[in-house]
Amino acid sequence: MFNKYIIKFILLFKPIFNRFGVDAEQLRIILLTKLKMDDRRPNIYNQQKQKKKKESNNSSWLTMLTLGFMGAFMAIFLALAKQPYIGHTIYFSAFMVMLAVTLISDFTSVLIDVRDNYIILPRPVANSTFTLSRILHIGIHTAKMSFSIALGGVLYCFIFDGIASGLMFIVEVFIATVLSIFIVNIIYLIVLKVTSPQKFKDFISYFQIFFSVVIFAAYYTLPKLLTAEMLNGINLLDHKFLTLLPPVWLAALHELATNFLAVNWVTYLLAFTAIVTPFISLYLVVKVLAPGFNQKLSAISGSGEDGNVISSEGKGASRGFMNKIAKILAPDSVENAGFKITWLLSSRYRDFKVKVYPSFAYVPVYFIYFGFINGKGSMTDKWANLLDGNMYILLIYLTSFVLTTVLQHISMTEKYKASWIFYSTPLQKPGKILAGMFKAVIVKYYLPYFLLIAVFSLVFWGPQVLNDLILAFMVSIIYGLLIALFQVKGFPFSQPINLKQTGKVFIGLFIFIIPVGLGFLHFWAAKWELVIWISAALMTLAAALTFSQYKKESWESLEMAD
Amino acid sequence: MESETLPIISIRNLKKSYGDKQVLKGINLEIYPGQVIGYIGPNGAGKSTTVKILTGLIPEFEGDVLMYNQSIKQDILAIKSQIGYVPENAEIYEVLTPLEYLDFVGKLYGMEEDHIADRAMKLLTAFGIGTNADQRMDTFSKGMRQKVLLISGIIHNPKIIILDEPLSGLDANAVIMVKELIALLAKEGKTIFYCSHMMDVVEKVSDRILLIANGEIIADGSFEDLKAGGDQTLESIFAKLTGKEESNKEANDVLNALS
Repeated sequence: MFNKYIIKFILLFKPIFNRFGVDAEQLRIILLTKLKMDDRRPNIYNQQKQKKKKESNNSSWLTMLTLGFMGAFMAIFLALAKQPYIGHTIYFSAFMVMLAVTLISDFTSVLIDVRDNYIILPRPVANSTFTLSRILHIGIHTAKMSFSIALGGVLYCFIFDGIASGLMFIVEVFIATVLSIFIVNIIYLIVLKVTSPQKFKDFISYFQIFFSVVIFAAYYTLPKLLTAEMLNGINLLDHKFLTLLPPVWLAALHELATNFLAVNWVTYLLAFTAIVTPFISLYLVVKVLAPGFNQKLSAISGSGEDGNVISSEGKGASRGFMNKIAKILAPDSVENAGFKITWLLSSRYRDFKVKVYPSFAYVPVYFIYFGFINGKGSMTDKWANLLDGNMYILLIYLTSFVLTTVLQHISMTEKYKASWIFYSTPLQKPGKILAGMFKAVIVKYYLPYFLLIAVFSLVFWGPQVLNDLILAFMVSIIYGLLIALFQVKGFPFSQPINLKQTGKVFIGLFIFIIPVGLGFLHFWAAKWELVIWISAALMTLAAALTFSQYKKESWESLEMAD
Repeated sequence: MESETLPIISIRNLKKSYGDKQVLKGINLEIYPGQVIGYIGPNGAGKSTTVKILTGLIPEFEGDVLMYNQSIKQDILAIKSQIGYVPENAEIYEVLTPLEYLDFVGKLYGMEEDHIADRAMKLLTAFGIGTNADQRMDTFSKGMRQKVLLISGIIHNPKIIILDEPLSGLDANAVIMVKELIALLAKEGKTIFYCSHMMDVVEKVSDRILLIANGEIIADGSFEDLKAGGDQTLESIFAKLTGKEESNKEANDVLNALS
């Protein structure tokens, strides 16, 4: 609906388009269709909503709403930091990072959409129409996002800082947007220069992972770290290197608008830089970067073939590290198949990686939050307190979060249809495939991570925590097995992401009581070393029994995709 | 042949409904070892449903299907291990290499790792994609993927091979090769159940043609038998039996709609 008005506005420039040989009607149709597709496309902000059966027709508006909330949250910095430069510098740093990251992680699929080559290019559409439609599509998308993020800030400036500040803020937003696009362009070019098209898509996945971690870490740590007193105690211009950062230039514009008579020559210089750089960067984007960029882009969009991609697990199916481990841990032929398919697909399906890899970063973030941020005293005091207490128990139990995240996603993928092979082959005991899958998850994802945390704990808390480590590991394994038994219920990568999860949330919560309860008992009983050793032995036995039960899973207990 | 040998597949009064819609209306068939069955029919006639029942993908149906004189309802796993299945437009794990994929499939059939690797490599080479054995399949053309799919259907050397549009996407040389392969496999005593819309191919490779329409077998015989009605091609026999003789009229209607 709103898209129509956007396009109507764009078509006001029809006479200019005509002069450049652009067919305005074709342009209208292409843009309308692309914007409609944007509204139906899942993106990083509304993936959860896509799990519902109902198809989304307004995902870009949901994204705008989410960004609007984030922007309103960011506007708090404008109110919080009254010191010159600080508030606007922080605000526009966050603004530019958020815009650039959203553009990279969310809009890349549009940029490298190969379908245009088959759908639009074979039709009688002039090059100028096609190119302009792409530029405008990206422009509209970017404008929607920067408008959403900026709305809170604009309102704040108009209401609390006056009309001059509000108007200047709009200029600042425009400059920040142009600079963000420039930065995105540079990042794309660098990545395309050093990687293959295949790797480019991987890069985007890793970028999404990185973004999730940054948002998660910022959510937990920033509100505690950035206090008003702390912000107001800083004089930003004391640190000369900071004047190289674009957000500082934008803050200078604000200073100019609000304290025109009081500012010094440095502020004038920075404000001048803010005005000039968008023009320079626009020139660089259009004349220097865009041509090369389009060439590279068409290389990605072209055949999509990259004949030299070799299996990362080494040549051939009978060699390599994975094969050796699989042979030892899953000697049974079917179990071996389950082990290897889980190992291989989990490292190659991007949708799995994007969902699971961030969980590796959550554990240290939680640990830092509980250990350092949430409390009083200096960092040294807090660290000393940590070493005195039993905080390592929390840390090692937190690792089970990684295991459950992997397990909860191991049966799901967008490409689940390839799993037909499980059902057309003579699989007598599906539990064998599941057992192989579970072993692969443990060996590939959980064990290395746990060992890392174990080494950290042994170094800082000493060898006496060894029994605690074994006990916590076994409790996590049991927890993982219960999740696998009652929540996973599918072969590796055999279920669609939106598969109905009725009742599973409650089962999950119920199972969650087990590690939490056992963890508290462990925390309480940690001083009795013998009790911990005995408990570790009992848990090992319980884990073995649960695993043997899991291995017997039958066809009846599995959930299959339609 | 029929009188001397026991049928390898017996389909008895096979019925299947989806809700109110009856897709199969009581099919009866006997298929003998070494036969190449061409299974043809218009869209929605019940071909895929029959194939899915034969391969155990649809476990619930009325009537019975016997393979080796044993109902597939009794021990579908034993039956599955004797069948090689190449579905139409099937998805594969394209992020794997052919060797990794075939290793996985072979193990699901209970084959030994070394045996799979050896046979997979030989088959990949025979299909002309041996040099791509260690390449991820997401870089493959449709034809190359189809070859891997075909190999995955025969890697365990099954006695019954069910092929659903197996030539889809293959280049001319590969089509010739697969057609010859079908003939050779039949000579070895394998039973081939071949579903396709490509009438000229069905005509050439099959020694018995089954035509299904509206859930019923409406023709069963060799191409020579079916030709007895006066039609010279399988295409025209198909059109006549499925009531689409007026294809020329339909084409004219399309043309008229454009004017």
